[in-house]
Amino acid sequence: MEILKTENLKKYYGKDVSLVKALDGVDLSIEEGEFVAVAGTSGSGKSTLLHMLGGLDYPTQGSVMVRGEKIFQLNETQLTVFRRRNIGFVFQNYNLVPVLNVYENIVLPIELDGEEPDQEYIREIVETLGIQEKLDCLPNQLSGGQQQRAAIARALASKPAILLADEPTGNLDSRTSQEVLGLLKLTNSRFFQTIVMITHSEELAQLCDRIIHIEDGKIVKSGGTGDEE
Amino acid sequence: MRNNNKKAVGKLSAGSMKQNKLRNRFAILAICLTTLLFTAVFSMGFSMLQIFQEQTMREVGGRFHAGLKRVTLEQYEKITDNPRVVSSSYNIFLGMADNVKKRQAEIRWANSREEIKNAFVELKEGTYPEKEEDLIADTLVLQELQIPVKLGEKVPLEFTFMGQTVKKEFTLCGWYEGSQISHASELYVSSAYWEEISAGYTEEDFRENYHNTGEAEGLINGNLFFKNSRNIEENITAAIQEAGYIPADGRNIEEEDLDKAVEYGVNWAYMNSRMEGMDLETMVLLAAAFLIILLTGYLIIYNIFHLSILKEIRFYGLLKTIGTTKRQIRSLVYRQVRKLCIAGIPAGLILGYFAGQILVPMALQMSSYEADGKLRFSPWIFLFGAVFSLFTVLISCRKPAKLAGNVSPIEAVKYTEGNLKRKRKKKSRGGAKIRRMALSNLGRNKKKTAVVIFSVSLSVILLELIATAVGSFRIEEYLEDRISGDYMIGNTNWTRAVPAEMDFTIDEAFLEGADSLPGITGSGELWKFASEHHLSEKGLERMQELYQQGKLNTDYRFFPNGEEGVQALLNGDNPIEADIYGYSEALLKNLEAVRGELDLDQFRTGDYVLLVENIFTDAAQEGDSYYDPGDTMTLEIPTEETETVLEYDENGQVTDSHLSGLESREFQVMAVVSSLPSSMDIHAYSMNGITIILPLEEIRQVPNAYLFAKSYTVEEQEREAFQDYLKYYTEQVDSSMGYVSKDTLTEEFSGVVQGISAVGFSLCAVVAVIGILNFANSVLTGILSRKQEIAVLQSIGMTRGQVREMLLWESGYYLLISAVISILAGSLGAYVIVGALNQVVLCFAYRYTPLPFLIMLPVFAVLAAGISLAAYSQTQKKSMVERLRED
Repeated sequence: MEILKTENLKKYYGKDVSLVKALDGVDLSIEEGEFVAVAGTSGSGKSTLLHMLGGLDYPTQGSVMVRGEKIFQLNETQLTVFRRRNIGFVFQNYNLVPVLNVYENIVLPIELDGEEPDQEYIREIVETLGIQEKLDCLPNQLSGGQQQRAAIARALASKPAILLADEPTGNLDSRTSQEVLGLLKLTNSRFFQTIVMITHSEELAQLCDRIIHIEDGKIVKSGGTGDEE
Repeated sequence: MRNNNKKAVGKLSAGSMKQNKLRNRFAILAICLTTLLFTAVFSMGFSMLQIFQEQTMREVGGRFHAGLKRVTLEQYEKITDNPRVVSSSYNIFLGMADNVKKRQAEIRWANSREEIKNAFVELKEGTYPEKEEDLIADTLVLQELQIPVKLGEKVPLEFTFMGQTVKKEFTLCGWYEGSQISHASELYVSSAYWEEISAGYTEEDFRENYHNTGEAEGLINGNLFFKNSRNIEENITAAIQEAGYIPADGRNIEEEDLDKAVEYGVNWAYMNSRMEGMDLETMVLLAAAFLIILLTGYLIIYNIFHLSILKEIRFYGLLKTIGTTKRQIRSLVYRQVRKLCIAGIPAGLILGYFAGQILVPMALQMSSYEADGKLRFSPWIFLFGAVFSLFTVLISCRKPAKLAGNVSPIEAVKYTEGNLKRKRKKKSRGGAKIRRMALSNLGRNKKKTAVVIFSVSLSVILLELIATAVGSFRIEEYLEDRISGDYMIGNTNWTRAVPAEMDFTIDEAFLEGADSLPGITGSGELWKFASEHHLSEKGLERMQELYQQGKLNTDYRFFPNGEEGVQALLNGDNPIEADIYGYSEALLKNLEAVRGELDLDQFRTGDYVLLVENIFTDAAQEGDSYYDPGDTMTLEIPTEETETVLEYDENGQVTDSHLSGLESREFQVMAVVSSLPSSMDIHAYSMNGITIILPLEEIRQVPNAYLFAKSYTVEEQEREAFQDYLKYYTEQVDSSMGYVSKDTLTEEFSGVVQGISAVGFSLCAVVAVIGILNFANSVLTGILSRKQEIAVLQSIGMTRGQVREMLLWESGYYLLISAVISILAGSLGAYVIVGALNQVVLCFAYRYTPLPFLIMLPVFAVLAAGISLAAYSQTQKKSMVERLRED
């Protein structure tokens, strides 16, 4: 089932001579349960694409459909609410809220929605990610890898349609990077979680179901990694 | 190792200044306001001191440091020859103008213009006397003589010179504004006239005349200036001694030294101006004002720099990493501070000076001084203002500068607000409610939060104190003390605070006129006479007891012969003075019996008296009296035959006076009443004497008893006419008559309260503005530094509304905590501090008011919400993606 789709997605910055085409007509379709890597050099437009997919930024043209809903037809508040229900973010620099402990960080999106967290589910995520001992810690008491696990847990907590990860291992050493990616894969298989991950590392991209290569705002190559067959 | 790194530090500091425009604005404003407060308080304090000193000088009659009294020209010249004496001048007393009755008009000849100028005679028009008939007079004398204030007018004067009555018509050659504060008006004649009138007399004649009659005509009053006003007494006595004379300060001159004795006086304006002249209350008030300003300034300036350094902590960490020393970083901070001071302090000085100009007249309303209440300029105001605010700034920046210098490069990189120190774990499964997140955000930088809360609370607490104090003034009590009924009429000697002379007669016509006016619903008479009293055996015993308890006044002014005189009093050798009052019955109700009961029916029989409690020293206790209720005492009442008998010693000097032909009558003491309200006495009492109240019927029989005041209660609609009559009579018909009215007293009292309110509330307002600034700065920097964090929250699904809600809760908590603190501390502080004033300030009783909280807290709430929302919209200027990427 198609869970995410973009049509002729364009994002231009500036005007005339200084016009920058960050995204220039991206057509993309992602199936539910897929683990997709978006790869490209820096400045290729991959982060912009992620922002568009997550509804953090508005496109110049084109549409993004999540679960069949055109997200840019929503107003800002609706979009925010949509985001917290359907999109989970994992950032390169973790971006945990420093005044909240790990548990509070994880359940934050659910509580912002005014819902009670599903304790059983949260426990499952936490155990899967191996941070059950760290729930009372504040972010600054954790290592980078632990913080990123907490961030992933937060992203998963609201059972989003898509988890968007922006260079999730960019700040981590290679061993921890492998661990975190392993966890993402585990999540992908255990919870049938659709994941779109940005990375500039071809090596990490190879671990995903599919790699979308992007250059100068355009998809140049999209296909399986050969991993799935 | 020395090197020249000024340039590098300068560059860095300039860069940092550019990066921190918002902080710079806050800092300059904070420094400016702190300076303003200091300057305003200094200019008030300084001007008040100046004005009080000038007033005292006016009372004394001159600016000079010290005076020589009744000396000869030879003495004067010898003494002023002393190098200690920087300049001097003198005048010679000719006599008192007998045809000027209400003022003491002293006719003098001055040897120089400086002498006249230094006596506060500033000619509004005209010149100094030259021709024989020339005269300088003041407006008060001219007014009394009903002579127009115009040069060339004839001024007839009558006076006694060397026993001869002189009548002369002078010509007004110059005039000046008379002052009610100085006890006398000075009239100056020309040298030509002095030479004419003194022809034929020698100084020896004048001295002899003085010894015989005590009249000082023809003798010199020298006025001296020394290098400065320090050690005046020492300088003047030394100058007298070095000239071969014996300094005498008015007492204890031995017979054989009489020829060599030189009397002198020190201008006590100069003594009063020093610390001992400042009363404790003023000192405490000034010290408190200083501390509060210092604290206010410290709280905000410290906070601004503390926050700005935290914000730039990575920058300082980086500097550390590349090898900048602690000292260099500190000097980097101080350089910025200096620049901000250069902008803030001068502005504050100027604003403070203007504020002072507005506040000084208001502050003067509080005092009884009726001066022209203008700000007195002095460079010291600016100097002190600048020094104190600089001091405040420097101590405020000490810690932030240290913090910047001590930054560890490693920690700096990891720093986000509230992260500098590791926290304990936070056990909570309550989840992340927006409200609780807000509270947690407050706890990020506890120091900042505490400083802001303290700063905001301070202004509310201060306001509560001032408002409570202002609200605690009891006009009812004041009016009760100062007036019975709506109007009281009397001689101006009675209507003024302290009688100028003991003449309390009221014009018959004035009384009749007032009595005949319509609308009078009640009136009361106040009578008095003076007599003497021989204490009974019991009374004497009680007096000795009171003496031992320190409740009698043994000041040398009352006992020139020291212990001898005191003993004579205690032995009952001499009678004590008795002030005897009588009132209409309606007025008796204003008296409060502190011992015994006041029974009007019995009192009316004429067999009883009331005694007023003794208050002669600070040791006095309620109900102190020479007799107890129920005691019998014998009163000596003057009769038609009563005369004053003077006793002389062998030199013909008066040694004592007593009354003859008194009639003795026995009375029983009914009760001891608390001291008379000032509306019911003559504003003077006999030291160590006895004050007795007789029934009005009894006192009317006494030949020398007189009506000193009459009170009227008048119907509302007739009051205007009544007051018009009083005004007309006292101004147009006889200016020695006066009146007090409830309305003018109310105004007078309100003036005092308004003065306090104006000064207090304006200072409060500035402190409040500083509190708000501090709050604004903290909230703004707090929110702006969390730009990225807020973007993250938004990215994971926090709506704008929720972000706003969180930020509003944050300022709400600030306010809530400030409110709790200020309500508790303010109420308690007001209770303790203002309550303590009950004993000190007259007509004052602590009265709680929650008004400042009800007004200030909502205002703060609105401002706080506004500031938070403004800061929030600042963060929303950039798109979420941009903010997420920012580091």
